[in-house]
Amino acid sequence: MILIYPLFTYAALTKAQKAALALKRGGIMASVIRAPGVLGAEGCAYAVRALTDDTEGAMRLLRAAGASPRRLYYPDEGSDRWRRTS
Amino acid sequence: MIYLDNAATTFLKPRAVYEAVSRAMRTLTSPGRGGYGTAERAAETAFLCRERAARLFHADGPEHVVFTFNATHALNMAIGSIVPEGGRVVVSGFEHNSVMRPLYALGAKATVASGALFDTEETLEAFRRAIAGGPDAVIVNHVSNVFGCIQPVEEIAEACRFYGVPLIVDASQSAGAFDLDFRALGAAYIAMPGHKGLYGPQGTGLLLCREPPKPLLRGGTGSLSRLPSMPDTLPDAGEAGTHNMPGIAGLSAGLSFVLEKGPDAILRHERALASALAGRLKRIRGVTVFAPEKGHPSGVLSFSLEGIPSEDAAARLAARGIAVRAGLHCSPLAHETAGTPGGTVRASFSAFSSMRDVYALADAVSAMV
Repeated sequence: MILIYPLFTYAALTKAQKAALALKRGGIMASVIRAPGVLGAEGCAYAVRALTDDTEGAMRLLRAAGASPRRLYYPDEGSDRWRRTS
Repeated sequence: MIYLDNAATTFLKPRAVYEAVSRAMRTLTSPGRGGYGTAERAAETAFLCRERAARLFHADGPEHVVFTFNATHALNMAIGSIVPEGGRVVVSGFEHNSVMRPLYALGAKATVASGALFDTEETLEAFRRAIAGGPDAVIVNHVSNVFGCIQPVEEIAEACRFYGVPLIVDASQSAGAFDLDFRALGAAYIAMPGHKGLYGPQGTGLLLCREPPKPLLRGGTGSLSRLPSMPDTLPDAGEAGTHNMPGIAGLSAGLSFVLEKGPDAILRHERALASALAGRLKRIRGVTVFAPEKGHPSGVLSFSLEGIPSEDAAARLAARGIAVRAGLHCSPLAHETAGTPGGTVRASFSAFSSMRDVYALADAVSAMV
């Protein structure tokens, strides 16, 4: 099975860290990474990589923590591209 | 040395602070400036520090904690964010030059709201009257760095909320020893040093921000780099340039110490020492002690000696191995308010001070007059 994990992007590192913490507290494994170059159109950005197939649940946790992402991406299966969903 | 100048900088720190600073020098680089191990650890360290500060001061989240170099830096940023040029501001009678000089530079008109020394009711009445006049901002020194008197910050904040006036709190002497609830106060900003009651190293400070501040410095933030202007997000809006990671790591350890010990316990300890010192000094002929009748409100205590200028008294105490502060303490307004134009000698305590320090200072003063 291939796990397809969502990528939540943030402009600021602290907000990304806050988001990752909210996900971890909600039982979702998450880590902060520098956003892949193609996603940081405005320059340096950060992303939270979450290990979950429940994106809606993750979004609820993030909204409740005041850490809504700027964008949500999924990796395009079989390529190194990212698919933006919001 | 008997160190009683903790209102300037706490000299003795928890062991964990020294260790954290040293470790940071060897293991951390810069947060947000790379995806490799030392940068990631730096990011985690900075975040933990913000989290601890947010917990201690009841901020809405770690992003509301902006790192500064000291309280002066934080106050300059807060004042520059709120007070317009030529604006009208209400201040307490105990403001430090870190407030008065930025206001002077802005050409602001400052109304001083003050009562008699240690008269909280009179002070509050003065604030309420002045706030009703609709100033652009209120700035209040929570605990005086000269006399240790407390301004009724909760009630002043309530009046500010009622009239919709933004409030800046200078918590330089209260952070770490007094319960400060950023959320409940509804203040726009609370500024504090890291190197006093939070037991961090010099070169650290915090600005708690409700909204992003106007930047004092502009430069790299590791975010939105294509923007020609500073990001308007917290905390990046207030943090240009490379972070002081050894300082932040040490401050984080200091915050952990305060959280574990509890501000209430620290305040009880400092008050007990200051009250004991006031009691002893009051019994010495020729010494004027600036303290209420009973129980000193904080760990900062001023006194003066008849016929001995404060600087001379402090020099003589230093020769006996006792470190105190003398003069105006960068707060001429406080001396104007209290009627002490020649300045005072100040003793100030920390969690590491002891009753032996009190006895030593009282004995040394007794031998001088």
